[in-house]
Amino acid sequence: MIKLVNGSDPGSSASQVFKTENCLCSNWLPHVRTLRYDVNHQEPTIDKSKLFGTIEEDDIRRFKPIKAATNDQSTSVFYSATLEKFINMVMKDGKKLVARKIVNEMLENIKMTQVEKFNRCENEKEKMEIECNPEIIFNQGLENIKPVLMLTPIIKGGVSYKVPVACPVHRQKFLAMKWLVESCRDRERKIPMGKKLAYEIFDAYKNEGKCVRRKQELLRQCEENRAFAHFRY
Amino acid sequence: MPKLSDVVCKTAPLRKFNNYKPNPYKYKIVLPPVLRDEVSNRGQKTNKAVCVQEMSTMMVCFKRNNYDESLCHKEVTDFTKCVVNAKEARRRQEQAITEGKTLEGTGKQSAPVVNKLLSRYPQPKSHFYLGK
Repeated sequence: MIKLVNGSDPGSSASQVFKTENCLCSNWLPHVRTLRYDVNHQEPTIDKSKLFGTIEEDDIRRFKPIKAATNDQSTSVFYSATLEKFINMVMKDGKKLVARKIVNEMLENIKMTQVEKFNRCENEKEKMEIECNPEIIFNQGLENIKPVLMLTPIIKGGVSYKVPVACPVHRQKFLAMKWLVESCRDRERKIPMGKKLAYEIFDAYKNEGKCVRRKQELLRQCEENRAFAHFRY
Repeated sequence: MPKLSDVVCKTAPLRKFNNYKPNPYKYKIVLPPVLRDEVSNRGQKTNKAVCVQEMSTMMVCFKRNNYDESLCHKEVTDFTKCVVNAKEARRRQEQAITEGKTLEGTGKQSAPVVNKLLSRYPQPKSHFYLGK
């Protein structure tokens, strides 16, 4: 349902005067389900070093309008785009605060476990090996879940075949996070989500567990269908 | 007035000489013999499967190591590099098409570009009587 600022309905002639495709001025935009920007709008710069530097004469940002940064984005040292994406995937019913809390708990749990391990460890060499940064563990765990290949349905002669194809980077990220969240949601409800996520991440970090098995299952299917790999699409 | 050759060629020993018989078919123009102002678009957009060789070596490595990706680091990096290169090549191809340059493989221009040029210089209008 499109809601306009001046209260007129979308079918009226007044609203047809404004065409968002052509207007550079982004003061009036219909909020449909997401905020829709014109094609010309560029992504905002989040990197602090780039913000304080100078931009070239022919840089595109001098000539095109720029989108407003979202509330989640910041130039802080602690800002991580992957974590923000993950928070969005954990979120249900638009409850961002709950999702953010869960992910923070997950990071806290990871940190606590690692610090405990660190303090209990007597061997100096092993102590240095223990990774205490929860973000690094999270990222490494995600890397281990990301599939290299995926199956795409290709219709040839009326028959739909599952062809193994290189998985694009954005799809890899999405699948890794999706599998992680799904596997945690399948587990028993009594354990808090933050803890469940921490357990899953630890398993993935060691290259074992539910999510990694799911990835390996996908790779196995790709291997089975490798005869179709040369199909043109 | 029937020709002597018409009559004679109907008899058995001479029936084989088809050169002397009149052509039973009348020439008729089915399609006008005029050049079209466009080139066919067929056979343009086949996305061929890329990096199949690298994929198969990677799969062999996976099978050997029970799908443990950490042990197949070299094969995986080769595959991803190949995929990136293929994507870059495809992007260059599409850019060449939009800019009207010659394509890398064939050395010709793409059909839409040629059509644009041809439409600027169309064939003069001609009328043909298409026979019954």
